[in-house]
Amino acid sequence: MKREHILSLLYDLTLTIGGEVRLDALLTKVLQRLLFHTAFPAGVMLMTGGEAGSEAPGSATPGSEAPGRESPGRESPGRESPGSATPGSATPGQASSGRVILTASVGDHGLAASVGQPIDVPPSWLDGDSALIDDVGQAPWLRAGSRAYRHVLKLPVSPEGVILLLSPETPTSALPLTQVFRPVLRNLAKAIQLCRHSEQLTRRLISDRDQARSDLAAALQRSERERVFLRQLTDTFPDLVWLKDPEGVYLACNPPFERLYGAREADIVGRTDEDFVPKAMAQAFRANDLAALASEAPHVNEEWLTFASDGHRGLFETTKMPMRDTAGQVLGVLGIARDITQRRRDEEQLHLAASVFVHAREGIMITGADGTILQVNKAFTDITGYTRAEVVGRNPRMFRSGGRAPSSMPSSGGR
Amino acid sequence: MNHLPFDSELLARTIDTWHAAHPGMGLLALVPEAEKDRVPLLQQICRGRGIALSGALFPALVASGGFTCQGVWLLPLEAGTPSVLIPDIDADAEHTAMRIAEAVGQGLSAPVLAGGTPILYMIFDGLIGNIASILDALYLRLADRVEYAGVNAGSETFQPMPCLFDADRVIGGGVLAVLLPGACRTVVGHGYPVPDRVMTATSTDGNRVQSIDWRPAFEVYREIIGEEYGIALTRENFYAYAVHFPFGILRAEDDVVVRIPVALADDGSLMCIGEVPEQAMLALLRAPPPDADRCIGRLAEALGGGRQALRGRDLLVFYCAGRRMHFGDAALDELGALQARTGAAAVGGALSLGEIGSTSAWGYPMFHNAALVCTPWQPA
Repeated sequence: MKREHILSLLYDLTLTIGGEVRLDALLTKVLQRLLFHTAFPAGVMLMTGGEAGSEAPGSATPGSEAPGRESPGRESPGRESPGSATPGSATPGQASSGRVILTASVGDHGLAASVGQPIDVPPSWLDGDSALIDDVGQAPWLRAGSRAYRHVLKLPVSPEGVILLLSPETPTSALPLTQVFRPVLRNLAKAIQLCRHSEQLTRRLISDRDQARSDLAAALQRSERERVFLRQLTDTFPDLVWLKDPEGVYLACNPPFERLYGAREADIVGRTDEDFVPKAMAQAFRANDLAALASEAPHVNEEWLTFASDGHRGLFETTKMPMRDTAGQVLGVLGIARDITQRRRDEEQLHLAASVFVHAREGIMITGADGTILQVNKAFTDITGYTRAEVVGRNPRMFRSGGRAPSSMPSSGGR
Repeated sequence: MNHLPFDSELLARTIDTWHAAHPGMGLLALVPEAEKDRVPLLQQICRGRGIALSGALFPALVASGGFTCQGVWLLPLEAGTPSVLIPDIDADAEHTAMRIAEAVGQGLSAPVLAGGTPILYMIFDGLIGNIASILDALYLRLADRVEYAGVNAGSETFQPMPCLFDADRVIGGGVLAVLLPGACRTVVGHGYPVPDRVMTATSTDGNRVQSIDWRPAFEVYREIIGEEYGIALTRENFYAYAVHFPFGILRAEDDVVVRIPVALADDGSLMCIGEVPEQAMLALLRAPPPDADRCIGRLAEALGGGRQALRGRDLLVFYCAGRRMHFGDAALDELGALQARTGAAAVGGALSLGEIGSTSAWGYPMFHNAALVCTPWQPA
């Protein structure tokens, strides 16, 4: 049974070692399982080398601190800091002490408070084979807490460091504790390296992610500013503005356009002209859209539109142009329609007035505010005998100067 | 500690006498499930006198060298003994451990606990399925600031029942935590030997063993018991036999942590009191024959290092309900032997549905089944 018994312990520890990707959790759980199996009340992981300090769990991944861990530097009453308990680092009969980092601790509140701090241990504890140590005089910090530890089970995890299981009483086990755990301790050293690499990779990924998030946030902020600007621009624009995709489906529109179809933008987006106007008109709109898409230049046409919101009708000059992304891909058709009803009426009035001026049988002279003659009609030149060139730019007083006598005085259009 | 009948006048008189001698005292009450309707009476008496009451319901009490379903054990607690009732424990062991640690943290400096490492005595509702995980997480938080002991309360039918109380409430799904002075150093033992046969719990979910050796758990369990012990296990006789053939989680200390399957789920999985780690190599144990030397002798040794070490002191004993079922009348022999070897003036306590502690001094706290939890009682 002993062989199966040992295999079951190794099996349990192997599963524990293989189940963690964070160094902090790995070391804590391995210590917990070792304490469970051996009935030692406390255990620590001491890590050697320059990496130990920089990779101390709890400081490696913020927020992943093991429950109950207190920040290094806080000490429990009655216990010295582990490092300070070995002043000078040298002990009688020992060339020097090995300085390592207390990387994990389970079962001792005082030691848990010192996780991440350097600690001095006899060099012989850091190498060699597993051993049960009964002389702990070279590590006085083991005697400083609430339990005076007198026995240490040294379990080397080469080359990463060493696990020390601590007990105030002589451990009792029918199994050779110094031999049982050797196979899994080799795996533990590899797992520590893998966790360290994993955490470095995780830190890099987190850093990259944070940078990407920051960039994205800035871009979104810019984009949002631009969106708000454009929205306000189009919303306050008196012209009708809309955007359709290449299939003629509305993507956006402004409030004046909403009044044309008598619907809110949310109800217009996703629909086509056929949902709002007679089919023939919708087809005409679509033809204009396609013409705009096919052309590089803006496509302009005039059309009479009737507003669904209040029934009023107006003449609009509609400009449609293809909208493209930065890669030149067509996004849709941007349309702008300007109400030219009044302008057209004004033009017609001017046209009418001009026709009366030209064809009147009375001579008509138009003067500016200062009395300068601006224009005369054909009847004026016929009546006065002056050519247009002779009078334009001069003052009507010229007609009193005794020149050619007009048969009659022409009527004046100015003051 | 006194075992008293639920007589209101006698209870009031006894409590008044203690209260007069020890103003500010608290009370720990152990009540058998059959007397659960009397708990309000006890609460009323304590509330009226301003006495801090803590207590729990158990399948039966240990009293007068045997087991009884009547009366109540009253254990006076020194004035200022920290005690807290924590309701509504959720499935997150880390969170539960944090709540317990925070609740008892301030009590650690209570004057009554001066002079030694206090005992954190926890009484859980027996239906909480992750107590081993809670202990792991709690040990990371409190470490050596306390020693750990406790039991599970509740009904032996394993039906939900509010089983923990203070002077105002009776709750289920929680834990009662009491900090006892260091003089009440607790020992735990079961005496189950390391077995020969090992199998693998290939699929588990907390305290549910779904498959063993990659086959449905009950199928394998029934097969092994049929082959090795000639017993035809059915759903109906499951618990009656399962107490004799529990699982064991092997440890290097030449020891096992016992898990008694207490129920058979519809899907063929076996429900235990206490978790079984996934892929754990389990041993199928055959509960041992009565052997006072193996279990009781070791307990007595751990309690005092020699015969009659507790002479004149009372001994609080929780005895696993499953163990009692397995041993039958021999359980009484164990109780007798325990009193004889320790010299305890009185041995009193209750049947428990799970036990907390370490099988060695200072050891890692664990959740056991089939064990005895022994606490030399410090009179108030």
